[in-house]
Amino acid sequence: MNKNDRDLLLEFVKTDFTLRYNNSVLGFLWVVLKPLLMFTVMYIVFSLFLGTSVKYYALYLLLGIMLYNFFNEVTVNGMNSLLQKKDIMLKVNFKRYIAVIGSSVIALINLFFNLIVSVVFFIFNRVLPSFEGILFFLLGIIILYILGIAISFFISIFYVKFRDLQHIWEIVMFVLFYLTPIVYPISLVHGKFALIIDANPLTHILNFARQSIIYGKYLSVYSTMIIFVLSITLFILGFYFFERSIKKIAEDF
Amino acid sequence: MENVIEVKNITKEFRLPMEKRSQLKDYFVHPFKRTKYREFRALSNISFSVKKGEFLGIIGRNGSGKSTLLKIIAGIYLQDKGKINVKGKIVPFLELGVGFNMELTAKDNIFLNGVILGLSREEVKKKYKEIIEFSELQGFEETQLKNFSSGMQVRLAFSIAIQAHGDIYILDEVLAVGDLGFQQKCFDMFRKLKSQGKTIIFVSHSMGAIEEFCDRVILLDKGNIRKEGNVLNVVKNYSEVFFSKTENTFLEKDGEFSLKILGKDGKDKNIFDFNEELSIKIIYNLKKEIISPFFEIIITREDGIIISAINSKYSNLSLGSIKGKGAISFSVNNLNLYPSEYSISLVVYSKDLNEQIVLLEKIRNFKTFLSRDNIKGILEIEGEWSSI
Repeated sequence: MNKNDRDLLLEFVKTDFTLRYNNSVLGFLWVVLKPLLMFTVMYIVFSLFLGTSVKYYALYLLLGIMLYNFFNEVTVNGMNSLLQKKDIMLKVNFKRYIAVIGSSVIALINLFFNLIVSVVFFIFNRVLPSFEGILFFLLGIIILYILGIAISFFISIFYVKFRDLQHIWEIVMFVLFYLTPIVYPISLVHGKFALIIDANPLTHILNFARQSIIYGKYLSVYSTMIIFVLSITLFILGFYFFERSIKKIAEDF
Repeated sequence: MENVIEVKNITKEFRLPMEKRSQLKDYFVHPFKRTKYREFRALSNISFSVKKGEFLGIIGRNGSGKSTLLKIIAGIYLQDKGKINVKGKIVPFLELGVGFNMELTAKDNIFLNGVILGLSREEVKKKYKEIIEFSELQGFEETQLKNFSSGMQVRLAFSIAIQAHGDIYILDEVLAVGDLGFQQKCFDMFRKLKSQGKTIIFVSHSMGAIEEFCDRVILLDKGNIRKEGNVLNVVKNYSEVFFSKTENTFLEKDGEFSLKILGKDGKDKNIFDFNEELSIKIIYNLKKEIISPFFEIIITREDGIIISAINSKYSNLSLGSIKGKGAISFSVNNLNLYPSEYSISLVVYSKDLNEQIVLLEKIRNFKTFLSRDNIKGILEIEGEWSSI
C-alpha cells in the first residue's frame, strides 16, 4: 500500500464512521444497544427460565455476543463492500481490496465501543482479568478478524454475481450463532452434535478468548493456534482469489 | 516523443446472458440448465498509440466501443486479448462527484472525492480554501450535500475535479452535463491543460470541441478503428458514418414520408457552419387525399429544448389538397444556431390544427459548429451594430 492507498482507506473509514456516528444522535447508542438488547433477552431466557450453572454467565454471554456480532459485521460489510462502491470502481482504478479492508474497520471500532461497555460488567461481577488474559483475548479478536476478512475476500466477489447471497449469508450466520457456544457452555454439548460444534472454528476462538479474559484459564490454545494458521492461509488464498477475480468483476456490476 | 499509451490488438467481448441468472436460487432450481449467452464484441483488434503531450480525440456512435476502450485504458475493465501499456498516472478528469455521499458535509465530500481522484490528503488540505472559493460555497462547508441544489453540487464537483493532476487525463463525455457556462469552464480547462503539454484522451460527440482541441482523432465504428489521423478528415468521415445517407422513408397510415436536410448546393448535409444556409425537404407519397394540409417542422436541441416549431399555416404556402407524390421545402438563409446537435421532427395536420395526421419524432439530426470563444445562449439574433 502506498501513500495514496492509505489515504483512500482512511477516507473510506472516515465516511463509514461519520455516517454511523456523527449523523445521528442515536448512532453511538445503537451500536452499543444492539448487543445489550440481544444480551438481555438471551440472559432472561437462558439464565432465568432455563437456568444455567455457568459461573459469570452474564459476562460469558455478553462477550460471546459481542465477538459474534463483530465477526458477523466484518463478513457482512465485506460482502457488501464491492457493490457499495461500484460507482467509484467504474470510474477510478484503485486497489480494490481497500474497499473490503476499509469496510471492516468500522466493525473494529464498534467492537471497541462495545468492549468499553463490557468493562461495567467486569466491574459488576468483580472480575479482574490478568494481563495475559487480556492479551489472549486480543489475540482471539485478531484471529477472528483475519478469518472474517479472509471470508470477505470470497463472498464479496460471489455477492456481485449472486445477489441473493445476502439472504443466504444471513441464514448461515444465524445458524452459526447457535452452532457456537455463545449462549450455552461447551460442556453442555454431547454426542454427535458435539462434533459439529467442534468443527466450527468460532467455537475454539471464542472459547479461547473468553476463557482467558474471564476465568484466566487458557483452553483451546492448541486448536486456536491451528485455526490461526488456517485463517492466515485462508486469508492468503482469499486474497489471491480476490485479486484474480476482481479484474473481471467490473462487468458484473 | 515517447509513447505514453500503447494499445496492441485489444479485443473485448461481453457475454450478455439471454436470461439473467444473478441468483444462486436459479442454480439450485435448475442446476443443469446452461445459461445461454449472446456474445457482443465491443472492441476487436484495436491498436494505436498516444504520444506524450498529445490531445487525442475518440469519436463514434453510441455503442461503438468508446467507453469500453476508455475503461480498458483506465484499468477498470480487463481486455480479453491484446496488450496495453500505460506510462504515468491516469486521472479520470472531470468525472464529477465520484463517490459523493449525500449524507456527508461539503467538507467531508471534498476530502473523499479528492482522494478518490488521486490527490493526497495533504494536497486536499492545501487546496481546500481554493476549492471552496472556486465553487462559491463559502459558509456551506458544514452543510450536508443533500441540502445542496444540483447546481451547487456540480460546482463543488468541478472545483475538486480541476485540482486532480496526473500524467494522462481521460475525459469522457464531459460536455453532456452542465449548462453552457459550465461547458465554457471546461473548455478553459482544456486549453490550460493543452498549454501545459498534458496527454489527454477526449471522447465526445461534440465535433466543435473535437475540432478545436484535438491533434489527432480516432473514429470507432462497431468496435473497429474506422479511421485515424488528421482531425478534419476523420470528422468528415464521422458525419458520413453517423448520419447515414440512406433515404429513410417512413411508412404511415396515409402514405410515405421522408425528410432530407440539404446544404446550399442542394446536397445532403448534416454538419453546418452556425450561420450557413440550410433547407429541409419533405417528400411525400400519399395514398389518400389530404385536404388543405399544414406541415410543421420542429427543431429540438440535444438537451431537449425546442428551438422552434415552424408551421406552414403561418406562411403564404397554400396547398389546397394533395395526393400521390410530391415535395415541399423549407429553407433558411442564416441558421444562426450555436454549436450543438439538433434534431428535426415532422408533423402534418389536416384542415385545421386539430387533426394530426402524421407525427415523426426526431427523424433527422444535424450539427452546427462555430469556432469562437465565449459562446453563450442558443442562437444568434441577427442585427447590426452601429455607432450613433
